Amino acid sequence: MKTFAIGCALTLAFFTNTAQLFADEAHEMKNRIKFLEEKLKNTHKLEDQIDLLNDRLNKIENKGDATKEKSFDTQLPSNNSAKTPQNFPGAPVSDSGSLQNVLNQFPAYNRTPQSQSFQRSTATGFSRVFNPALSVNGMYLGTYRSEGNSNTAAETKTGFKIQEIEIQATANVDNYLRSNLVATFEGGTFEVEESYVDALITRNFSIRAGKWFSNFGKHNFLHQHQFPFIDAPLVNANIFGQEALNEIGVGVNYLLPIPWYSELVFDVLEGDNTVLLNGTSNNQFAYLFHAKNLWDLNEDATLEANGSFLFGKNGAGTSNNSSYAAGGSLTLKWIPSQNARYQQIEWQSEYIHSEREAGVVQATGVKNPDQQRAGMYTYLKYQFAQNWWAQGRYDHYGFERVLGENKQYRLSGLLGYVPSEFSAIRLQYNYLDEQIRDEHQVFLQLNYTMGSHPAHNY
Amino acid sequence: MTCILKSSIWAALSVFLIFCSAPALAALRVVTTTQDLASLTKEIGGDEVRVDTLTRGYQDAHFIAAKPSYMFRLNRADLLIYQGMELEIGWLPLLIQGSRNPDVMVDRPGHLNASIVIEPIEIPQTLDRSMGDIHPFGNPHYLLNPINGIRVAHLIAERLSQLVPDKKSFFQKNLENFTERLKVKIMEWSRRMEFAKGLKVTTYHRTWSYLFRHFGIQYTALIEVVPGIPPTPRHLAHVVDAMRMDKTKLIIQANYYESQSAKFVAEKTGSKILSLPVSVGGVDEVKTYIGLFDYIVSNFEREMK
Repeated sequence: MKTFAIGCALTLAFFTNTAQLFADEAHEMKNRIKFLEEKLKNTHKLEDQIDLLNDRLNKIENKGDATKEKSFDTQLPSNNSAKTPQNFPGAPVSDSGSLQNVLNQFPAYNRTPQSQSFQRSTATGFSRVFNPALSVNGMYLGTYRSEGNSNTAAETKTGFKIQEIEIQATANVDNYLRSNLVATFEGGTFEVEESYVDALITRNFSIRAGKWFSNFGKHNFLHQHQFPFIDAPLVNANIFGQEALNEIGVGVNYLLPIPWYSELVFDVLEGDNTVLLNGTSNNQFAYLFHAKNLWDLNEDATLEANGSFLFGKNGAGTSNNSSYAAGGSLTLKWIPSQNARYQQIEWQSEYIHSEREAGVVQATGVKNPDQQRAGMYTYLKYQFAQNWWAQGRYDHYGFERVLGENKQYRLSGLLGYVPSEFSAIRLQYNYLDEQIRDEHQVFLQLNYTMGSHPAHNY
Repeated sequence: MTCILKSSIWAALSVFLIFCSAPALAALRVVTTTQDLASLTKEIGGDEVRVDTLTRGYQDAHFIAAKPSYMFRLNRADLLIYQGMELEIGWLPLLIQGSRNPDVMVDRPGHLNASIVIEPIEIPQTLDRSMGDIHPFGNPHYLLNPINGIRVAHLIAERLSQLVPDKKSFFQKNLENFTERLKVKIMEWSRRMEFAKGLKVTTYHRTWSYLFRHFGIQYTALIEVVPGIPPTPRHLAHVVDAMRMDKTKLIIQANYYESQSAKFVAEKTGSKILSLPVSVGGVDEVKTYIGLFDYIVSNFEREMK
C-alpha cells in the first residue's frame, strides 16, 4: 500500500514535471515561430530587392549588347569607314580620367571565360565542338610540253587538269593519341595517303603507327601541296617512283638530350614501294634510319643536316635480293627576324643513291648486275616581297642509272604570287635535257587551302 | 688502343651526363613566347626562375618560323607561358608538339595561357577567312593595357607558387612590390596622357586597341586592307580621304611593318609617323614591362605636345 502511494506520488510528480516541461517548450516554439515569421518577411523583402536588382542588371547588360553591336560596324574593313568616318573600337573609355576610376580597375583580377559564343550543349549528341580540324586543299594545273604531245596516256601532258584534291583531318584522339588523316582525289581515284597516330611515350620519345610519307631526306615526306616546286625532283621520282616512299608501319622517334636539335627516327615498314622494295615474301620488311640535326647559326639563319638510310628486300628474281637507299641533305634558311614577313632565303640540296640487287638468271645461274640509281638537286627560294617568291632549281639524275634509262638534267625557274597564306599562284618553267631529246615545260598552278589546316613544319 | 677507346667512352659518357643533369639542378625553367611575358615573369620569379623568351620584341609575333631550335628550347622547359588568343597559332602548336616535353602539354601545370585572366575586346561577330587573319577570341595584344599586366602578373605568381610551393611567399612579395610600382606608374601615365584623350590616329594593324582604349585614343583608319593583307593603292586613297575628313594628323606604326605605305599616306595628309615598339625589346631602350609604357608615353608627349 505504502509502496503504491509512493509510486502514485512519484508518477504525479513526474507528470506535473513533464507538463511543466511541455508548457515551457510550447512557449519556446511560439517564440521561434514568431522569429521565423519575421525572418520570412525579411526574406520576402530581400527577394523583391533581388528582383529589382536583376531587372537593373538585365537593362545594363542589354545596353552592353547594344554597344557590342555598335562595335561590330567597326569590324568592317576600313574601306567602308573611309567614306563615312566612324569610331573604331577604342572609343574613349572613362578609365583614363580620374584617379578613382583608374583605381577602381585594379581589384578586377577576375577570370573571364574567353569565349561564350560557341555552343556548349551536347544534349542533341550532334556537338561540333570536338570535330577534328578539317581542311581541303586544291591544286589546279595548266601544263605545256614541247615534246611528247602525241602520247595521250602520259602522266604530265599539255592541257588542264585537277592535279589533286586533298582532304585533311587532324585531332587529338584522347589523352594519349593524336591522329592525322590525309585523303586525296587524283584523276578519279580516291586514296588514303596518310593515316597515322602519334603518341608521346616519355619525355623526348614518341611513337607513330599507320601510313605516312617516310622521313627519308628532305623532300619525300612533303605532301604535294607543300612541294617547293610544282613537280618533284628527278632523283626522288626515279628512286621511289611518282608516289614517293609512302609505307605502312610503326616508328619511333627520339630527341637526343644534347645541346642542339638532333632527332633520330627508326621505322619498321611494310616495304611495298614498287620501284625499290616490294619483296616476294610477307615477312620481308623495310627498315628506315633517319637523323635530323639543326643548328642556329645566328638569330636569323639555321643550318639543317640530315642523313637517311633505308634497307629492305625486293622482288626481282629470287627472294633474297636486298635493296638499299642512302641520302643526305643540307638546308640553309635565312629569315631576318625583324623582317620575316617580307624577306626569306632558303637553299636546299639533297643527294640520294639507291641499290637494288636483281637476282640471278634462272637458266644460266649468272647473277644479274645490281641496279644502281643516283641523283641530286639543289634549289634556291627567295622571297623578295610580302607576296612574291622567285625560285630556281638544278636537278640531275644519272650519276648511277639502270640500263635503258637516260641521264637527265633539268633547270627550273619559278615565280610565285602568294596573296595570303591560304592561296598561291605559281608559274614554273623547266628545261629538261634527256640526252636523246630536249624539252621545254611550262606549268601554271593554283594552290589553295580552305578550312583549318595545321601549320607546316619549318 | 683499348685504353684510348675506354677513356674516350668515359669522356663521352660524362659529357652526356653533364648535359642531362645540369638543367635539373637549376631554378625553374620558364619559356615565354614574348618578351613582355618574360619581363613579367622575371618581376615575379626573381632569381628562382630562369626565363627564356622565344621571340624578341622587334619581331612580329604573328609571323614566327617554327624552328626546331625552339622545340629544343621548349623541350627543357618546366613552364610555358604564352599570350594565347591565337596570337601564336601559326607556330606554337608545332613547337609544343615537337618539343616532346610532357610537362608543357595542354592542361598540365606547365602550360599557361596568360589570356585567361584578361577581358578580350574586338571579338569578331562573324568568322570568315575573307576577313583576313582574324582572331576568333578577340584582339590578342592585350598586354598593351597595363591593367592587364597586373592581371597576368597575378596569374603568373599563382602558377609559379603552384610549381614551387616553397617560394610562395617570395613570389607573393615580388607580386605585391611589382603591382604597387605599376599602379603608381599607371596613374602617372594617365595623367601624362590626358592630352591624348579623343586623339585620332591611323595605324597599320589593329595592334594598339588596348592601349588606345586605355588612353581614350581613337582609330581613324587602318593601312592594311584586312588583317594580314597588304594595302592596295585604292585602299590607301580611302585611308587618305578618311584621315582628311577626320583631321587625323598622326600615324602610329609598329616597328616591324613596312613603312612605305605609311610614308605615302603621311605625305598626302601632312601627318607625322610615330614608330613605336609593341613589346618589351621592341627597341633597345625598352628592357622592362614598365619601361615599355614609359617609352610609349614619352614618345607620344614628344610628338604631340
